[in-house]
Amino acid sequence: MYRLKSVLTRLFAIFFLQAVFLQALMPVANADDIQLAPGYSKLAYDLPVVGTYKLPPLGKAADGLVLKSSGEEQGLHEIYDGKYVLLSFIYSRCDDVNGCPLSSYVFNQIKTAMNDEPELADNLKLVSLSFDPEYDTAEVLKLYANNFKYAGNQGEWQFVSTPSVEKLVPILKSYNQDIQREVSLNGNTDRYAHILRVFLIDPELRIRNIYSVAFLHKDLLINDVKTIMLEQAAASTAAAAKAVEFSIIRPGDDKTNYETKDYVTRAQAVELRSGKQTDFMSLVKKPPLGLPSVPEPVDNPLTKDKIALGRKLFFDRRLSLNDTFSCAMCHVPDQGFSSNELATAVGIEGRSVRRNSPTIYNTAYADVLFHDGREFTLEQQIWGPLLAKNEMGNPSVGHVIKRISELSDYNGLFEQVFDGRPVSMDTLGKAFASYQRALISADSAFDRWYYANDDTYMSESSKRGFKLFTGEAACSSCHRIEESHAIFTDNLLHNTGVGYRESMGIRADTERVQLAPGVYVDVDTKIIDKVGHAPASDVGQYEVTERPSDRWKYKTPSLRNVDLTAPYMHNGTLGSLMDVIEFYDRGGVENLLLDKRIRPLGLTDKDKQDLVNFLKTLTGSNVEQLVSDAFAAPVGDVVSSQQKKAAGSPGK
Amino acid sequence: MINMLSKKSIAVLLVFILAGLGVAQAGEKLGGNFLLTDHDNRPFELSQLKGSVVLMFFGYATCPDVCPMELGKVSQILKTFESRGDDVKGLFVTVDPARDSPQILKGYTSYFSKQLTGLTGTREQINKVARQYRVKYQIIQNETDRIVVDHSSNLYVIDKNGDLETMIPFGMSVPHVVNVVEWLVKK
Repeated sequence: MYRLKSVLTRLFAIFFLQAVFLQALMPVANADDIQLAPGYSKLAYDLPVVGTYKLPPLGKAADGLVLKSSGEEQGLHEIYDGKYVLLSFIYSRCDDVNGCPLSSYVFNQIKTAMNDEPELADNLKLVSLSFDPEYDTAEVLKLYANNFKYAGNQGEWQFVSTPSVEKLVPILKSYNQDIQREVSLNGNTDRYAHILRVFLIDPELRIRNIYSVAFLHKDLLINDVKTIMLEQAAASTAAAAKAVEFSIIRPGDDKTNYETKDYVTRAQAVELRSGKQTDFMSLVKKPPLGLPSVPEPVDNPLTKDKIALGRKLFFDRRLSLNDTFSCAMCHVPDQGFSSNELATAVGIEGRSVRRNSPTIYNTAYADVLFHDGREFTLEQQIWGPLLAKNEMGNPSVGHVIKRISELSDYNGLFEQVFDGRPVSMDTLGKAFASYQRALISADSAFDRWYYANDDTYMSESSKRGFKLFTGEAACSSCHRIEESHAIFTDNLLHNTGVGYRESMGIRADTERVQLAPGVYVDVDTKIIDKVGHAPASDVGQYEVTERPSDRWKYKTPSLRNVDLTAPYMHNGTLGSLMDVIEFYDRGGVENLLLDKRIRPLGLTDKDKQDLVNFLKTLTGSNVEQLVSDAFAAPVGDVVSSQQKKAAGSPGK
Repeated sequence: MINMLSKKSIAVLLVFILAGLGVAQAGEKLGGNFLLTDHDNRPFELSQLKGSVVLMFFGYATCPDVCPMELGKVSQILKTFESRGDDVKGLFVTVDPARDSPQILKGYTSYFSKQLTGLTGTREQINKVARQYRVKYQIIQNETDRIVVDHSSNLYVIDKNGDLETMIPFGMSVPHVVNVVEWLVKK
């Protein structure tokens, strides 16, 4: 009898085999001759254009504890990793061709597509979650995952199980996955009955679509992913534009997005930008979260009046040789107390300065000043720009002191602040230093998260950026973060190769010149050289120490408010934070004196974006207050004093 | 679409469980070498096939559905690689040694491919291999006295060193399996 059956089976087998051979390139149908799901073949309909439809959120994608193929346990939300996620519930033994194998088949196609679509590889993650913890151990999952190794290295497809049925049940419940176990008489689970569902989840952990077998198709899934990615991008651009529009901390003529064709001017009338005086003494006595106490020199303690006097001096154009140029014209308050529009500063009469104007924020904590570290206190530093021929252009210390002593609106002010002492090299430096010292800024999103456990304003991406910053990318080895505070600098000088590159004239053959929003020409560098003059030589700290090993060393800047202080590096050659991250990712510029800490980092595009997002969390919460104070400050000017005279004369 | 509990309508079956194995002790490594008898009645060890990529499947000669389907795929794959001169072998391990003698297996496997070897052994030997590879099976006799074996239907892929590389679920397409094997042949 068995024999007969066997023969029948053979005939049966041959019959089916022919069917199999005929569809050699198709998945094999079951004996029941099940019709294959659409996911296995070409999509029978045209998809709507990406971004032309909406996928409203369908609720929150729940968290839960899962088991990775490494054997470690991890939260499901951590697995999602702030990415767009396609989540499929499977079990490795599943033999329904239109069930789990279908979802793996479709995922495998998407994974393969990631090789050609970095946008997907970087932003989308595939997750297959087993609901068979009994059989699908970490080891089995690894073997199952090995199926798809050939799909290539781009993107990520992670297989997870759960540590136990107890941990699994709430996950299934929250994703509304009704799974019935079929238990055999000896107590083992053999098969599961489940309804195939694949979930599309956005980085905000919202479910955006749920696919059943009839809709599970690579093209549709990719179309949907791209659609919600586009929507996210549009939302963040809109939010950024909005934030910029109403922000006093951005330049009055904010050129953000100037590089794109859809740039629209946001220039604001000067009279609209009025300010409100701030109480600096409260600020410096109780520094914002994340900063240590303000170091005050014994011979120059901070006082309210001294700060006010320094502030008056800072905005006074009469302190330059030709009465035109104040400190605030390079350290522009609404440009992060630096200069966003210029790579290197421009002094009186349009004279070029070699270096990028650094921010004044948090200089209270600086032990060395100037990019080359040539000064050590704010009290002394002020004479650099006051006397530099291409900055404020004053011929001598005496000239500056004489000029101030002749200005009627300073009558008695120094005497009042400094116990009867008039303006002098000493008192002028102390007054200036006091205002600059008071410009402290912190209590940023990062500070609230790191020092006060409040992550309201800290995105997952910026948290990952922080991890890279302090870990793999090792940024914090120079931009220091301490246990109770962070000033983001080691107050030392390093060779990153930026200076070397400029000294050696290492440049691309062409340079991109923007003519109008979104309109560029690539100009041959030789032509640019013909019409401009060569940059002044700059060898960094060597100019101060004359030690050959100090060539091209420049000061580590603090990164607080770094989002507001573009362009970057001592010569302003890097225009955006992304440019800076990419510069360090490449390992700076190779030279014999390159700092040992700088090496190629091998960051992914996502890592880079995470780092940029982290740097953007370092903007202090009081920036607006300090800029507003600057707008409230008096601007010392010959024109205004003449006007004052003119206005006052009729009454006399 | 509901994956029905079983297409074999287990509800109407009287079930005699002769073996229900597969849940191995924690820490036991998946896969590995084993000793069985090949379809020429010679002792067979997996280690004999070192240097070849091996596709292994568990089933039984009188299996009405899954086995011939799966073996059809396996033979297609074996042919693909044979024509290229690549070293890929197939193993068909019976979970029904009582009925599947070497002779029966030889007749059965020869329908599919000459690169395919049928393996049988004592009940204990088979159980040991099943446990090693986490294969579950149970021999069931129904009311009409027809014997069916309900068994796991993964295709096991073993690399050239004899290590289990992956398990391919039944239902995965032939091109998929070809891709996996190709990847291993090159490795």
